[in-house]
Amino acid sequence: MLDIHQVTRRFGTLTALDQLSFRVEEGQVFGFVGSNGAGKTTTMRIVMGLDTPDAGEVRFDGRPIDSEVRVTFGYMPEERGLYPKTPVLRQLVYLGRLHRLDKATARSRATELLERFGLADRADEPLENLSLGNQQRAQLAAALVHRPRLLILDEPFSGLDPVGVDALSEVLIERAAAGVPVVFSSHQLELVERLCDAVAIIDAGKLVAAGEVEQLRSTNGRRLLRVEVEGPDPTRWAERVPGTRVQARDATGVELLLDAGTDDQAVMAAAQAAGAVRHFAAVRPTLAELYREAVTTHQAGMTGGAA
Amino acid sequence: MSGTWLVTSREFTERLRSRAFLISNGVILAVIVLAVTMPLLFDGDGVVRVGVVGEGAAEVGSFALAQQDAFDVEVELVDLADRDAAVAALEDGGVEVALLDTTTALADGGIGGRLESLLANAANAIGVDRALTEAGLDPQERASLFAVEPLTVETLDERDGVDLFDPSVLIVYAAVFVLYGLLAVYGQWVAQGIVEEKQSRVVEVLLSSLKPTELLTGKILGLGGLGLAQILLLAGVAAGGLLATEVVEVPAAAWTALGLVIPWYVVGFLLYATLFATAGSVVSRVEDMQSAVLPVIMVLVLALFGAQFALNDPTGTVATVAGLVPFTAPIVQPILFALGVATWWQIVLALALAIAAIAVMIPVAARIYRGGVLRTRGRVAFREAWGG
Repeated sequence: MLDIHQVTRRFGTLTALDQLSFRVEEGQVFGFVGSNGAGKTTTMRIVMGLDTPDAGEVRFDGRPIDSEVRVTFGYMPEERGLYPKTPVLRQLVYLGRLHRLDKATARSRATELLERFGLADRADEPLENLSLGNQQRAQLAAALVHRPRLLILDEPFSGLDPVGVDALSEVLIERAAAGVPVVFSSHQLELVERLCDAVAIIDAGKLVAAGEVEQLRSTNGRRLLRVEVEGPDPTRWAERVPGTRVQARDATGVELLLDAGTDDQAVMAAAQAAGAVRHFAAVRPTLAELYREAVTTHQAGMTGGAA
Repeated sequence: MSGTWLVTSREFTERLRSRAFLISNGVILAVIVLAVTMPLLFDGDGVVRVGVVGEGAAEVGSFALAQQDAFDVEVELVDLADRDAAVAALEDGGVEVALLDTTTALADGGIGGRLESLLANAANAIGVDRALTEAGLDPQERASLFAVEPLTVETLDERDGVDLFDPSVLIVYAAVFVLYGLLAVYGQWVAQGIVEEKQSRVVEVLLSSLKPTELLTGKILGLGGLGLAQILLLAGVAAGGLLATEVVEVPAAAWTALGLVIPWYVVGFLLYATLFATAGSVVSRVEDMQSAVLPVIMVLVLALFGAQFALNDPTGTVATVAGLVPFTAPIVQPILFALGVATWWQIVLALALAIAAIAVMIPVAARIYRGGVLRTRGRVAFREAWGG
């Protein structure tokens, strides 16, 4: 279990992280979401000991992280990091051994991973001869070779083709199933939504929302209905329902946002009065919508506070 | 295996595996082997063959043969029938010089200083001997007249008879030049390795399993060890070649001086590696590395100038100081030793100062490295890196 506790990091006058706290449970695939410069990379670097917080601390399984614990972590930095001119297999073995594997184990694990990522025939080629996508696969193999107890991946999906995305997703889910907390950052919110058990949304160094996606949805409080009516008036009826606003409309139906206290059964009755109801369902907010809303609210709060 | 040791062995083997390294070493070895055996191919065993035509010439030749040790030349006499035979022998390299009579020598171009002195002296002696015989002196009286030491030249300045063309000085100068090259090349590899790891960001992956000091120590030990292996190999081949071929006679002092180059390499490398590491820590791209290491290279070049200075004026203040200052001593001190002007206390003091400087520089370099290695954007100010 990874515990980020009240972590603050300042660069000069800029507060990159402001008392950031969240927790990643064992076996969770955890998405770390935020705009560029929000502080995702800084947080991950602090977990990996590459940066030091000005305040707060990071714990793993309840204990502060020292070098003995950190050596069991797997890390994929945002800008990647392997030797361009060294053959792929050789550097995976080297990294495995630096992570305390003996030579034979490091070699067999590295070979195994390269086979799995379809790079077995490129094992003895210098990294720079591989395509960018394959370099990224090699990078992932480097993060996995010592079977880490925690995975920290900074933008692991960027630059991958759909096949690569699927392969990587599969690995992350598999690692999580083995009990490893998997933390990754991404701008691809649909992917995060599909993969993650839980997310943290940060904006300007502050935590905006954190928790399981389902839980974020339920605390979101938004009630949005999509209604499709077949009849002479497929959409205009909706404008006359009290306590609702039309969020969107298209040829076949409308999306209605319900005010607090509005009874959805009243909407149902109004729809039935307009024609035959073909579709009537709550629209669950996507992660992207939750994210936008949370960030907008947060930024409004900040400017409001400043004014 | 500990992290430091893994880094050490990686640095050692990665460089060893590189084609450029193997090729350059092959070339250097070939040059050494050639330099050692070349004279052998040209004049066999180092003996100068002198042709003699007729009785008078043979007399001069015999006298020269008797005097050769005093002139430090080894000659062998070859009897030739006449002038034509002498010309033919000179042309096909059978002899290097031919004495035609007691006053004439024939050569295919100029002949060397010592050989010419020897032959001139012999010819002169025979001429005088004949004159004395005609004057009526008996053989014993004549012999006593010729038992004279040849002229030794003493110089006025303080060099105590230092001969710049003395093979032992030349050998040590060559060794010091190689030492300079190794310090420059391996030192730059330290800086380059640091910058490459920063540029490729692999350092971020490495530092999740290693402390910065372990990474730096491993790098310096691995490259330094490879340099040591290289200098031992080169010195071994050169020394073996010199011993086997006996092209030049190497005095015992020169062997000691050559032996001293090895500890000076170790000390010099550790010292310069810390400087190069410091320079490499503050830049993030290989393109920027050259300008960062330039000041360090300048210091090394200065040390080489110091060695030149020491050759010209071994007991001057500049040479003495350069032989003691830690950053110039590794290059200058072996020269002073080979010239025979270094006292033991100077050598011990120079080594002690250098080791003290290493003790100071290692924590400095480690701190700059720690502060700079993770700042992978642009150039880091030394003060910023120092602050950590």
